Amino acid sequence: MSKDPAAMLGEIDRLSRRTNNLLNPIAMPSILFGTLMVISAGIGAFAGGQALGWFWMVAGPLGGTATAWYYHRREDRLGFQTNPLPWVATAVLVMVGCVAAGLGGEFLSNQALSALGPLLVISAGYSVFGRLGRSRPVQGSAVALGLAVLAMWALGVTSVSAASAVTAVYGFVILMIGAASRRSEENVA
Amino acid sequence: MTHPSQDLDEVVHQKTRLGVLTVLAGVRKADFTFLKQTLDLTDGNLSRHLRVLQEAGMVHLEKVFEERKPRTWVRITKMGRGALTAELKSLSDMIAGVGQAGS
Repeated sequence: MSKDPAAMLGEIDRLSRRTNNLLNPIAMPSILFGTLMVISAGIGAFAGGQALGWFWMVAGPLGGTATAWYYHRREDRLGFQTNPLPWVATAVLVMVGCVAAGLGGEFLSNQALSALGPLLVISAGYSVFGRLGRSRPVQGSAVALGLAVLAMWALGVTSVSAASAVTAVYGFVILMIGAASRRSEENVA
Repeated sequence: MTHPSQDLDEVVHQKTRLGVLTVLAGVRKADFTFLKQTLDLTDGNLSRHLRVLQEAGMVHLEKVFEERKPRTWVRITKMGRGALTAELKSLSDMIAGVGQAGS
C-alpha cells in the first residue's frame, strides 16, 4: 500500500471489495434459486397457484438448507467465519412473507395479493440479499422486479399466468447473474 | 486544531496491519492461512504483525486443534474496530484538507 492517504484509502477499498467477493459469493444461491424460479413459473402457468405453493413449501426450505450447507463448507475450507444471521433472517422472512401473501390472497379472495404479493416479497428480499452481498446486479434487478410488479398491480394484470411469466424472466435474470459471478468468484477463491 | 495526521495511530497505519484489520472487519473470525493468502504474506511476516496488533489489544488470537491439526483463529477486537474506523476517518480528513488547500 502507498503512503499517500488517497491511494491508501483506494487500496483499502479494493481490498474490502476483493475480500467481499471471497466472503459473500452469490453464484451458487443465485444459480440454484434462479433455476427454481424458472421451474416454479412453469408449474404456476400449467398447474395453478396451489401446486406452485406446494412446490415452494418443499423447494424453499431444501434450497435454503443446501445454501447454508454450501456456505458452511466453503467457510471451513477457506478458513473464515461470517455472521449468517442477517442472511438466514432474510430468507426466513421471504418464505414467511410469500406464504402469508399467498394464503392471505386466497382467504380474502384477492387475486392480486395471492399472485403478485409473493413477487413483491421476493423483490424486497433480494434487495436485502443484494445489499448484504454488496451486489449491484442483484439489488438493481430486485428493484426492477418490484417496479414491474407494482405496475402490473396498478394496471390490473393480476393473473397467475402473468405472475408466472414475470417469475420466469426474473428467475432467468438471477440465473444469469449467478453464472456471471461464478467465474470471478472462482478466480478469487 | 491539530492536523489529521496527528490522529493516525502508528500501530494501525502500517500497511500490512491496516490490511489485516480491514479483512478482519468483514468477518466474525479468520484463520492464519486465510489471512496469509488473502494479503499475500509470508508466515513470519504475518506472525510479526499479528503480534504487534495483539499486544496493542486490537486482535484476539485463539490457537485450537481441529481434526488433530493446529489452527489459529484471529478476530478483531472492539478496540481494533474502533482504531480502524478512526484511521479511515483520519485518512479521509487528510484528503479533504488537501482538497480544500488546493481550491
